[in-house]
Amino acid sequence: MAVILKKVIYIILIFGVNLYLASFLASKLNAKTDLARGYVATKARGLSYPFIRVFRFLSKDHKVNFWEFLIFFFSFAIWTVTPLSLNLIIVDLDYNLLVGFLFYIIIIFLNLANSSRSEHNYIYSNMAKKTVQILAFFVPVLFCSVSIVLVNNTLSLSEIVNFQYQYWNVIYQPLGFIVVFASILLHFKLLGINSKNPVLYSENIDREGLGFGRLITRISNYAVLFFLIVILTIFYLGGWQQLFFINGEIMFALKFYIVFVVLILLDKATPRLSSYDYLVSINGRFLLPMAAVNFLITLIFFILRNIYNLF
Amino acid sequence: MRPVIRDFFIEFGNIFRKLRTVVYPKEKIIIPEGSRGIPKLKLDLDTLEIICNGCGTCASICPEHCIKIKKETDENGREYLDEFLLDLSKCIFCGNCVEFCTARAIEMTYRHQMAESDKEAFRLEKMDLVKQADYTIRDFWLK
Repeated sequence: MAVILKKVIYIILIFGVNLYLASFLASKLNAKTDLARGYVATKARGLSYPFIRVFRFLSKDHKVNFWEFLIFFFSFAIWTVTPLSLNLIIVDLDYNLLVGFLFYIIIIFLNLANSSRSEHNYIYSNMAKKTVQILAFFVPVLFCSVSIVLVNNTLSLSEIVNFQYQYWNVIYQPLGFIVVFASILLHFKLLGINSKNPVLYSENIDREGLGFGRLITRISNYAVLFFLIVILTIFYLGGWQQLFFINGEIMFALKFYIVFVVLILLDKATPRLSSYDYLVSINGRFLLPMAAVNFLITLIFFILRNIYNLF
Repeated sequence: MRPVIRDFFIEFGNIFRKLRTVVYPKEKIIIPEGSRGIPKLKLDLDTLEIICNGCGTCASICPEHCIKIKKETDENGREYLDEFLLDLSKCIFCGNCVEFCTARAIEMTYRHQMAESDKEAFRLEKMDLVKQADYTIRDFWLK
């Protein structure tokens, strides 16, 4: 019991510290890459800025509804089945990949349910479009994860990492890596982590949800993004495999933050979202065909290896 | 795809480049040479009198008609400047008055911060314009 409690405290601490670091990095790199330094960027966005923002949210409205409570619960619950290192996992199932994806989908749908209580109809319709888009971008990730499962013959995330003791999966599945990375980049855009998003502007904080509930949805957005980056790192970049003398956990954190910074910079480098049609065309013309081709190639190799024993 | 890769490296380089904006009231910038601020009336350094004789060229050349001049004649028959009114709320800082002045009696200062709550504060008289000499040098941040 004490071991589980210790693990829970560790996971909550790691999640909180990473929330702080990621939001700080995002706001600081945003200002830096624009070569801009406003009053806000230098003064308010100092080291204490994330804490100040929490108090600002709390000062507006302290009420939390049922959906927000569930979102808060699930954005922490997703880390019970997602391993952050070899031992740092609370429920180590043989199929924790599926449970993690289930939690991911639940968080997205809870966000939709939360926005549906809105008095402004356009926020609901916008959020519904956003949800459909996010789930559409999740389909290529699912295809790629099936390919990974075929390569590694397991549904457990820890075993997928153990499989990569010699070579990372990115060597076997370069197409899949590109597809999952592009999908996470578009998630990053849709969740609006980086800055004010013109497509999502209608569900602006000025309109409603200024209080603690808005903070919770923000945390859930970060949780979804963290989950996807962790999945990417575990699938393709070797997870917590140690490199020479560097500790595995440190390598995991390094990979995580390298991916996060590259996502911030790529989000700045790619054009802003002007419409959902743009996203549909990306998904339909690039991500889904690439994921399908990757899946087919993997399936052919799987059949040749396991049924005809060619390799 | 190529512009995305190019922009990615530009953004990465921006992390190490010098920032272009300043925090306005806190940080100081150097005002470029030849910037046009509020005009001032020059003094003759020997006699400490206003050089302007009130000929009215600046008032006639001013595109916004924001200068009003009244001249007087003393007992020796010499013309002198009695009143010089400048309405800064109309002034566009074009510098025509400086350029066309035959006596070279007007000069532009570097003062360009002019936020006021009262509109009457923008109506500068003769002595106000003489006092603008304090702002000739570019160190107005120290004032």
